[in-house]
Amino acid sequence: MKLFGCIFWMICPILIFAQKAQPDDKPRWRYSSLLQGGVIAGANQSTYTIQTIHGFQRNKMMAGIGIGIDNYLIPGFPVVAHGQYLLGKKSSGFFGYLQGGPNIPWRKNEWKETILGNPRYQLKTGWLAETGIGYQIPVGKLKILTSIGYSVKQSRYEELFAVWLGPILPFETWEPVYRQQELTARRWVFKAGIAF
Amino acid sequence: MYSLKTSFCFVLILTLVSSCVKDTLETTFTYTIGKPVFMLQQAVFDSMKNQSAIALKNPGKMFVSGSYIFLNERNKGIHLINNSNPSKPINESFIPIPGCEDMVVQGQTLYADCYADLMVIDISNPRAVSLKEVIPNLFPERLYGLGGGLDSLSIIVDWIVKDTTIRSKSKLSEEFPVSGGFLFNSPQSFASFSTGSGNGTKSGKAGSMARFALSHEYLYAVTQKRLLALNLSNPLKPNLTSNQSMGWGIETIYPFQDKLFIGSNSGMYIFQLSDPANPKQTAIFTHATVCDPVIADEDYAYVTLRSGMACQGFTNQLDVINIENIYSPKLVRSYPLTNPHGLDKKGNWLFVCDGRDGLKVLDASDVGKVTVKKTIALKDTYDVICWGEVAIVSAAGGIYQFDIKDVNKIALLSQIKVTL
Repeated sequence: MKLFGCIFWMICPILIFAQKAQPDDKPRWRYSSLLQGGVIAGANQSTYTIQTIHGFQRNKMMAGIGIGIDNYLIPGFPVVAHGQYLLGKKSSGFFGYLQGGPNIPWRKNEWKETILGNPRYQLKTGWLAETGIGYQIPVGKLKILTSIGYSVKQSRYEELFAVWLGPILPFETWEPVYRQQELTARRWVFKAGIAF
Repeated sequence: MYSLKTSFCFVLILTLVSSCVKDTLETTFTYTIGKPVFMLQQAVFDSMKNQSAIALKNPGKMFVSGSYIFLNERNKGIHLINNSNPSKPINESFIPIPGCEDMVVQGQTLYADCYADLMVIDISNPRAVSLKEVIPNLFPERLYGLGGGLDSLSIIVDWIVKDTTIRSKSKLSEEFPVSGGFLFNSPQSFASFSTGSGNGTKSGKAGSMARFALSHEYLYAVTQKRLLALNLSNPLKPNLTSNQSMGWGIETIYPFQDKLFIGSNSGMYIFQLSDPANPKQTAIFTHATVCDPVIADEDYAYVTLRSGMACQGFTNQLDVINIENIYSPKLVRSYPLTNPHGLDKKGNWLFVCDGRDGLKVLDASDVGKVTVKKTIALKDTYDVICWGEVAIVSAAGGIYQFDIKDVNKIALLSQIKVTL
């Protein structure tokens, strides 16, 4: 986690200052980045999320690829395709966004438990989809954004269900038995960040 | 105006879509259901005679006696294999004994377990064996409860097995990850004993995984928590002389001279047989919680420690223990292995079934420096008996026999294959 944070904040200024300002009125694609963090509020937890998205922007539309951390219940690294559309005609105003993609699990300590040498949880790649609306305000070369969204995250894992300590006839097997679990979390996501 | 209207619509849609914030957990679990097939007790006893040979499916422990190999088909019965010619063993017949896991042969009598009972079978004519005596409830831990007790006149002879998948969906409303996960014993885990005999007797020889042992005209049996002694002076009428509690986790028994070496998942017990009717514990050598078959000679005990689902622990090694003073056994040295199971010794050579690695031949001429001389690749080796110039090995593929006259030129003599 610390390592990821360090890398994230080290890359930040590089990305910011590596950009060259483009006139807004020319209808051509240009590189665009979005860095944002926020709070996920669900039925069982309120926690943080951070995300960085890199892509291209043309007129009111932006499309890119993003990666971040979603710490809700089963932490993971969602890798998403992101699309964003500015609703007004001005550079400040409401925008809507959509994003989705695979969610790679982050095997934190609480998911590393073992029982008799067998991993209790085997985390699998799930998926995440999110849509929302936000507001952006240009400040110099940057834009400050804030948004509210609705996010669905599905986490998949196998959980050790039974360990046979004695032979059960006739199934004389010592193999652990796992059950498949799919946790679908529907949450509100509040984010704020900068775009450039 | 347009953007405001659009924004309003968007928020409205958003609100409708997200009418509830919730976490749901969908569970898919596939498990095996076993439906027991019952047979009347008397019919089971009547059927305990030679039947046509059947193919090996799930071979267990072995006992070698004379020119015969008695091979347990786990929980089904015993294969009688004529081994007059180890290069061409003949699977002659099968004695159906439901719930059988162990057996020993003393003279012309076969002793085998049938769940909680001990069967005494006359094998003076191996082609026409007959049940002579049933000692009931000697191993009560092996009775099936099945949640409600059993009709004492019925015996489970088979299981109808089928896989079932269930799916359930629930609202998650508790701390996550949810505490729990299940860790439980099987229905009869209180009873999972088996039998076997230790080193060579005048009658025969069992493997080191055995739970029955013959010594001084006594049959010694260990359950998961007790040591039993039965007087065999009248071979067809065994008489229980001792029933000692030993604590939990007893696994194997190996007799040598006037001692019994008992492997448990926490250590090795040594019992003295100065009074064979009533063995006396002299010492215990403790180790980490693992499974540990043991063999011994005059001065040293050789214990293989292995980990696994049933055995727990994380230790896989061979321990050589000095037992010159049986009141104070001392570890000489430990040697790392992969997943050692049964073992046996011929001269200075140790034969160790090292699980998936196969059969390992170790030079134990210097117990302080035991080295692997040779590895014979076999899948999931389980137990080995050195019988004269032949090593008989049970493994996933069946029963293998090797010529071990010269350990530098170990040759496969025969294989009785497992048929699935």
